[in-house]
Amino acid sequence: MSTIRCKSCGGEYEPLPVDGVAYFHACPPNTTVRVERAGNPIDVPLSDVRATDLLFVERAGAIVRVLPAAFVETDRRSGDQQIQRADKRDENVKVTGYDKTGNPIVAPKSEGKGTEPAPPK
Amino acid sequence: MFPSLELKSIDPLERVRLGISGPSAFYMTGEDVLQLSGWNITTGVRLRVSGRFLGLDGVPRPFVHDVALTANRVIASVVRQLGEGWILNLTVDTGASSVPYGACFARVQVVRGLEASGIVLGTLCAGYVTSAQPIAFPGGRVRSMVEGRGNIRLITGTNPAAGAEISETVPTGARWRVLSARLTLTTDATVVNRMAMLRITDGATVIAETQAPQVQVASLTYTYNFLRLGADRVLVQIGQIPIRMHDFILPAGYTIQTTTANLQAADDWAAPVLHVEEWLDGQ
Repeated sequence: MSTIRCKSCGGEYEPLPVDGVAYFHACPPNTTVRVERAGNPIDVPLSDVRATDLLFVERAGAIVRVLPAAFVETDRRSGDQQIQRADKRDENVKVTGYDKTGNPIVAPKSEGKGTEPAPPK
Repeated sequence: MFPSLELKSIDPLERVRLGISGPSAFYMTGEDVLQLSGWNITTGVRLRVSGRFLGLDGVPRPFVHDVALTANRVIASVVRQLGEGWILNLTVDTGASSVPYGACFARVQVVRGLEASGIVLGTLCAGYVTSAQPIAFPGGRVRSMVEGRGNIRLITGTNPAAGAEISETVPTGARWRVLSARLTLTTDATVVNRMAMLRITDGATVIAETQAPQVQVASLTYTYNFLRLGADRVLVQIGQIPIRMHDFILPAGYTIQTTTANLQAADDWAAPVLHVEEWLDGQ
C-alpha cells in the first residue's frame, strides 16, 4: 500500500496496511524548548532553537543558562514541554449525526493541513 | 384432549389461556423487526444472518439477510421485517468475508419500530464472528465485546519527522492491551545525553512514564523494547534495550508516546512497532 505524509507534522504512514485494517494517524505533540532570546525567556519549537539562544539547563543541581555550543553531555534541558499542535491532524472518527436508519454519520476529528504522497526513499 | 387449532392470528392472551406455547420465545408481530448490527475493523466485510421463520400458516421458511459493515469500528445496522410468526433459529457469520477472530462483532435483536427510535424488545445473540465461527440462536450467548481474549495485532505506526516524538492513539471504538512496543531512536552528532521514556496519557493527562535504564549518546541507534515481562537490561553492544513496563489496558483516545530528554532537532525516531491485543469497544 502507498505511504502518505501528513502535512501538519511531516509523519509518514500507510493508511491501509497489508493486513487490511485501516490505520488512523494522529499528529504527535510539538516539543517546545525554553530559551532566553534578546533577554526574554520564551518557548520555541525545537526546530527553531538558534545558536545565539541561551538554553535553560540543569547542571550540578542548579539551573543555568548556556549557549547550545556550551552544552555538555551531562546537562539536561529544563522547561521542555510537549504542546498539542494547533494544526493537528487526527484521523480517528467522531460521530457527527445519525441517518434516518439510526446509523452514525462519522468524520475525522480534525483534518489539519491534509496529506500528500510520501516522497520515494 | 386439546381442540384442534389452525395456526392463524390468535390473540396472545387466548393462547396463554389455552396453554399453548409458541414454537420459540420470539413471537414477532407485524410491528416487530429483526435488527442485525455489526462492528468491524477489516475492509470489505458483510455480516450475514440466516435462519428459519415459522409463519402463521405453520410453514417454516428460510431467510437470509446481510449488511455491509464499516471498517472503522462504528456500528452498522439493518432492520428486516419477517412477518408475523416465530423465529425458530438463526445463525450469524461473515459469509465469504475472511476475518480473524476478534475483528468483527455481531448482534441480533428484535426491535419494535423501523426508525432510530425503535424499542429493543430482546437480544437473541451477540459475539465475535468469522466465516467459520458463527453465533447462533437458540443456544448462543449474549456476549460482551470486552470479555475473553482479544484480537492479536501487529501495528506499524507513523514514522515521525526528525525532531518529533512518537505518538500513537488508541482508535475510536477500540480497547488495547499493549503487549510490547519496539521503538528505535537514531541520535545525531550533537554531544548530549538523551534519555528516552515511554509515556501513557489519556489524551491530556500523563498516567505513567517508564524510563530507559541508561542514556543514549550522540551518533547511535538504540532500539528500546518495552515488554510486559522480564527485567530491564542494557545490551549496548547490539543496541537493544529491553525494558519492563506495566500491563496497560487502554481505552480509545489514550496515547502511547515517547518523551525524550535533550531531544535534538535532527534526532530521528523510526516508526514504532506495537504488538497489541485489541477488543472492539463500540458505543
